[in-house]
Amino acid sequence: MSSSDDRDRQLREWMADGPPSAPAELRRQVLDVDRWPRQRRPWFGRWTAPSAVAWLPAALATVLIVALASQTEPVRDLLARIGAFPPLKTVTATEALGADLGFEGAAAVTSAFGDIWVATEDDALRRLDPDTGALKRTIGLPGRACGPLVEGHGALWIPLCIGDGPRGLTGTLVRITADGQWVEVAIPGTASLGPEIAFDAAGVWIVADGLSGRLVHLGTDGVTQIGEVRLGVEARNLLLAAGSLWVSGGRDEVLRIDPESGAVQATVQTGPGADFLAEADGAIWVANRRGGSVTRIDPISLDTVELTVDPGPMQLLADGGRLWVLTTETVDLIDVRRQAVVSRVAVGGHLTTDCCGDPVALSVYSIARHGDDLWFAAPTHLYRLEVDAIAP
Amino acid sequence: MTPNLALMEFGGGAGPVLSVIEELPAAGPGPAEDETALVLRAARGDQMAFARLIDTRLDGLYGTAYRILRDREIAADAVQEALYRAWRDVPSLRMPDHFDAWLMRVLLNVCMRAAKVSRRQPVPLDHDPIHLARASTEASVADRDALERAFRRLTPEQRAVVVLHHYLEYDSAEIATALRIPRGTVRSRLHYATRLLRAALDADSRPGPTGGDR
Repeated sequence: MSSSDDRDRQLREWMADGPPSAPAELRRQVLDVDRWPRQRRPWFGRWTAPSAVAWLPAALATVLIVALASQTEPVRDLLARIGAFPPLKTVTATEALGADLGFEGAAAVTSAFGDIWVATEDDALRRLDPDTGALKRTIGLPGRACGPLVEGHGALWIPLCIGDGPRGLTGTLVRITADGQWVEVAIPGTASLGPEIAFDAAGVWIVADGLSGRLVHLGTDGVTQIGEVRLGVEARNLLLAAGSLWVSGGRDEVLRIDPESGAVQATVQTGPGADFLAEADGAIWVANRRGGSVTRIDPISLDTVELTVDPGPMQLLADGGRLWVLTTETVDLIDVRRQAVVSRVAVGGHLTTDCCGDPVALSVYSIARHGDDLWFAAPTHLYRLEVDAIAP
Repeated sequence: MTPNLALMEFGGGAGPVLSVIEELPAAGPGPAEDETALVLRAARGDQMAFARLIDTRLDGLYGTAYRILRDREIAADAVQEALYRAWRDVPSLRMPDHFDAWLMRVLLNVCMRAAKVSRRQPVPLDHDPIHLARASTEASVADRDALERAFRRLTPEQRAVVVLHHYLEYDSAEIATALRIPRGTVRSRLHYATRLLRAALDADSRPGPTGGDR
């Protein structure tokens, strides 16, 4: 390139190059009205406002009756099951950290070693005091965090994505001890997905190659290989629970695998895009990323129950009898015993009234629980909210 | 860019209206119906009106999503999710004449989230024959590969800024409005991203083996 103008021209030409039209299959799907979700109607929208005064007494009485009735468990269960409950709950972040601490975007957050750990977009890991939010330490990493941070075997394990691999992005794994020392885990072969991990007593299971479904079992040192499973189908996420290894895959299914023999014991159909897995209340929960649902799997009978959540569920966080479901725009709270969504939270506010009447809330990338607080990693901030402000 | 560019970008190339839509009862005037009226009808639950709105915008939305995500399947998923969200939330839209800006913002939010997720997944470089034939007359395959790799190293927020600026030709004020971030942040993201993409081309044009910064 001889000049920046040439480079900009190349960039624009490259940017302009792309598919000329949307695929016919996409057009068919988005125009299929049966797939459309139910509309969310504001109570006092532009069309109802003129008659609001006339309806106000009746509306207030209705609200009062519903509010009282919804405190009784049978009514709450009924409302939850028919999808009428909960109403969207707006939570305005009480604390937005980040800018003051010298970072912009928070990619992932977790609680470990008594502190909050935040993987930031500048290829770093920051350790924060959970009470004051003060920055205690910054640790440089060899890539960007692209998966949940997980504590296990006395270390914090961080999946990283690194560019320029033979098939685009490759994944690696870093193991950090409480004193901030880190080592890169030598994953045999090339991790072609951000490595997902799960712990057992002997060590750690890693998705070493998600496309071919190759799982490796390493010792607690993250070095010694003690086992391997080749599924031959795509593996996205894995979980050790109920004595089995559970692997979500690309065929809208979850495989139950014997960790000793590597044999597939059962295949359970889920919703579309089975991805993140979590264990809560003795059951396996699956986030169906391409649909707006999570699937509960009974580990014994393998019976499934599918619950509707907001579109795009990604991360699941088991929290006692609760399950937090991170979706594109909201955080849904599931009561796992009732198997119902009991709260829906828009972090940072919802139905804001800027120039465009924009109803889009803040995206949240990651969620962590520490004490009485929930921490949310978002594109521009790190938020801390009290659980009591969110949970019903 | 004029405020109507979004309409220009997304208003052309009406694709075929599918049978599932044709089976809906006819509602209201024909294709020439005022866009704002269609938005108002969609907000009242008129599926036909919303279908007309998205049918004419689908190619543009998909093109934008593809350029941010660099993967056709993921882009299609993102567009689908964005349009479902748009249908769900359109009753809350307070200014129907800002439908395009609002829809773009919904799409960008979904795309940025999808980009965050897709960074965990391998995405083969777009090497289909049609693109290669076009590319050979405009830029070398090596340059395209260098740009692809560099672009994928950008954060989702940087990708969105680059696409809005270089593809949709938004200025910094429009990008700031679309992404709800300060103009200074727009400029810094654009500066950093453009510098990285230019550097990728520079590195590619130098003789000898090329290597990313990692």
